[in-house]
Amino acid sequence: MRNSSLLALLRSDRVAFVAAIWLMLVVGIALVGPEVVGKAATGLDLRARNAPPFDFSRGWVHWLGSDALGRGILARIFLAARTTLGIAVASVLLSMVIGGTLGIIAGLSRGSLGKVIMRGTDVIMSFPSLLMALIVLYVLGGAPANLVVVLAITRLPVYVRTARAEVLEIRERAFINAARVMGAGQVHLALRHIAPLVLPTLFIIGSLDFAYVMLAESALSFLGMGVQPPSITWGLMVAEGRSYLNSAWWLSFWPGLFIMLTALSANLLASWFRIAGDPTLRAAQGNTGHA
Amino acid sequence: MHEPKPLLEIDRLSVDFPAPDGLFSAVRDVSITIAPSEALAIIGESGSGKSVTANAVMGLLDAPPARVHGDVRFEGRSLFSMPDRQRRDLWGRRIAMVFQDPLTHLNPVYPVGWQVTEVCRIHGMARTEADRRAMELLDRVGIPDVRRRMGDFPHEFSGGQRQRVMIAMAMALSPDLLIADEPTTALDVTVQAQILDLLRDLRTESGMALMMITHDLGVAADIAERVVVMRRGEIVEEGALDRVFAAPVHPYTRQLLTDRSEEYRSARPGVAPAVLELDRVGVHYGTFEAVRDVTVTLRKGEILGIVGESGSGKSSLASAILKLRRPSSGNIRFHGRDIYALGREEETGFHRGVQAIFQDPFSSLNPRMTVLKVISEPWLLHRDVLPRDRWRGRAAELLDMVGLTESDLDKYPAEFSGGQRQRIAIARALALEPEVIVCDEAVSALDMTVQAQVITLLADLRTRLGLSYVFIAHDLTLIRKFADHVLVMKAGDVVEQGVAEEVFSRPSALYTRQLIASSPVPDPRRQAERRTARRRTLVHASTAP
Repeated sequence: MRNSSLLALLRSDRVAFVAAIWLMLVVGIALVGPEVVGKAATGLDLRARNAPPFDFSRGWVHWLGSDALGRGILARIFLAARTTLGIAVASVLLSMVIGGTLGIIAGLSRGSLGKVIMRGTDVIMSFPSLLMALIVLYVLGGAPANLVVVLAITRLPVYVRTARAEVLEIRERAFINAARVMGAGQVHLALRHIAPLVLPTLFIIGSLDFAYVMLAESALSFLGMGVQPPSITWGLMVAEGRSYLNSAWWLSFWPGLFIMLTALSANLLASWFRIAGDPTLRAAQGNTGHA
Repeated sequence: MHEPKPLLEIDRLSVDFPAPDGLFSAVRDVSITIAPSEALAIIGESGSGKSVTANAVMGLLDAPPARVHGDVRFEGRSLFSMPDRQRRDLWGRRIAMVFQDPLTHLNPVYPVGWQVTEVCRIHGMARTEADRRAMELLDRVGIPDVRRRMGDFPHEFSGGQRQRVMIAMAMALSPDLLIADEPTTALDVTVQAQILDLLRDLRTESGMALMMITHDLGVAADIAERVVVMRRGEIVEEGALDRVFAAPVHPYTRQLLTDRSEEYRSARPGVAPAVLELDRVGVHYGTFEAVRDVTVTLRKGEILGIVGESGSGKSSLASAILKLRRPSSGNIRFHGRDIYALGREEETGFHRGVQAIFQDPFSSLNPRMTVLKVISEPWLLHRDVLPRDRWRGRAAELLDMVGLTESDLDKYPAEFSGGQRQRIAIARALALEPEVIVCDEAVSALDMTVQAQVITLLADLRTRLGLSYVFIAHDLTLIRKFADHVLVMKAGDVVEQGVAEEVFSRPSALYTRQLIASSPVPDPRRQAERRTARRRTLVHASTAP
């Protein structure tokens, strides 16, 4: 019952609904896209070198134009969707879970543990994140898994600090004291009372970070430290197309558009979820029909 | 009594706000007139429309969302149809307003003297003259050592002094009408009494009219000549102060004025076994002593009232009893065992036996949990009390006990009013069948009628379940009605303690006498006598808050 009412709420908010559809589409592409396009994404076709978009005489993979080696842009985007989303989602989730947990612990602990965590994040923050990523990736090599870990670590402080700040405020509310009086321990407080209240905020940051991580990944790939060809990500496509910007804008434009729309949709859906997922706000908002 | 020309006429005023389900009418067809130099009190609970009415007069409503009908006339001229310039000139110069919370209504980044001067300068006074006038005003409202304190910032003043500064700003241009919206609600009773005295004196000196908005019948009885009682946006009763208080016509007014003290108390002398014993308890925050040497015993079925003003240490004492803050000296015993040296089993027993209800009904329930989850949380923590499949049934019983229904179980706290939330908190406190409930200002945030309902509920539960309460409040009238045993605290010390009736009828400490004298009673004649008596005794006592 609750799920169907959430869905109804989503449909009543047109912007969030469109964003949700776009995200589902992108996830669908990431799941089955590479298999659908198959060889078309990797096979060379020098007659179609830098072919302009909207030329419907070739196959559908060329509708958005072709790259310098004559591969259809659309096919490349489909192929890249899996790596791009995989890296972004994995590193955002990783930093959200670890950072959120550390932040809640730091907020609840009145002893030295909280101090250690906070100083640790200060260290990460004071070190230029791109430089750290470069060093780590140079040493470990640019495998996607390493990229995920590096990106997650550089984004950790944001989650730790936000979670801790929220906890410090929530900790003083009366229902926490009420639970303590009933004999609740720290673990119960953290899981039952604090985490559910901190999570929505972390989700919002996560959705903003989603865009940031996609761009950071493309920057690293551009510098040759991230994903290496023949693997491909949207960021790498933007980077590769840069040298043809004068003659063939579509090489960078389409993957860039996909990055922007996906990041935007994530943000829109996150801010919708903030309202829809909160019973307090939903009660106030529910009947007016827009967020 | 009949003035030929009223100062302010509110003529069939209606204010509607758009709400999710159509329009919410905050004020319906309200007509009020105020004669020159008359003191009128508008009495009502939250949501009665009393503040909206005042804000409409002062043009503080945001016009597009709010729909205002009717008219407000000042000396016969309509405030709604006059040009903006003229109206701005009226506000401040002829009509001034004092708000409830002086801290948010004073700008924190400017010195207090500057802010008073600003009011004079807006209305065209020269700089030096404005400075002189500001100093004169601050001196008049009782700010000590004005010359030095003009340059101080709002946070450097106490709550009462800030309210005095607000009053000084309102009085800057000697208005003909002062609108005061709950000006003393956030203040301690002794400070409240001083502010009310100040308002009365200023009124006799300047002959201005006063429109006082309050939920406190005692305050109305103290300062008003005429009262208007509002409920749900409508006027239910209007008349001279003495007439309304002596012979209320409307059932709602009668309900407000009913004295329930007899229903509450079921006097039980101290023969029952002791449940909770405090022995020379002290609580320190660093070097600051919040509580010093409190020794008191709570017996089964007894209500221990702890009364004191802000900063008296009463809430710190509650934290110590609830094991939220370890006392720095002395010990607290629950059934004879020191609660800070309990074994594992005894620890569980303590957490079952002692529960709490807190002041703020808005923060005492987790907004993300349904009522069922809230009430069953104690059983989640103490799993042997009740098997999971019986949670829902028992929670429904508890809700029924506090006057809510089973259908409320799946709702979220946001869907309830303050009074209902406090009932949910009570149901949660009852879930483990405790022996002691600590109520830390549990009803202070509630409206009068709701407060009465919750108190009646607590009293009833006490008789039915044999509960004991530690009942902490700043409201003397409440403690007097409800408690069996009283502890009066001031700045961390117990200044007086004993059986409630004795403490209130024959107070021995000077501070208790001051508290009792300052707390206004909802009876105009008695309040007037008490006021004169109090002012006589205060002549030698220090008056600065």
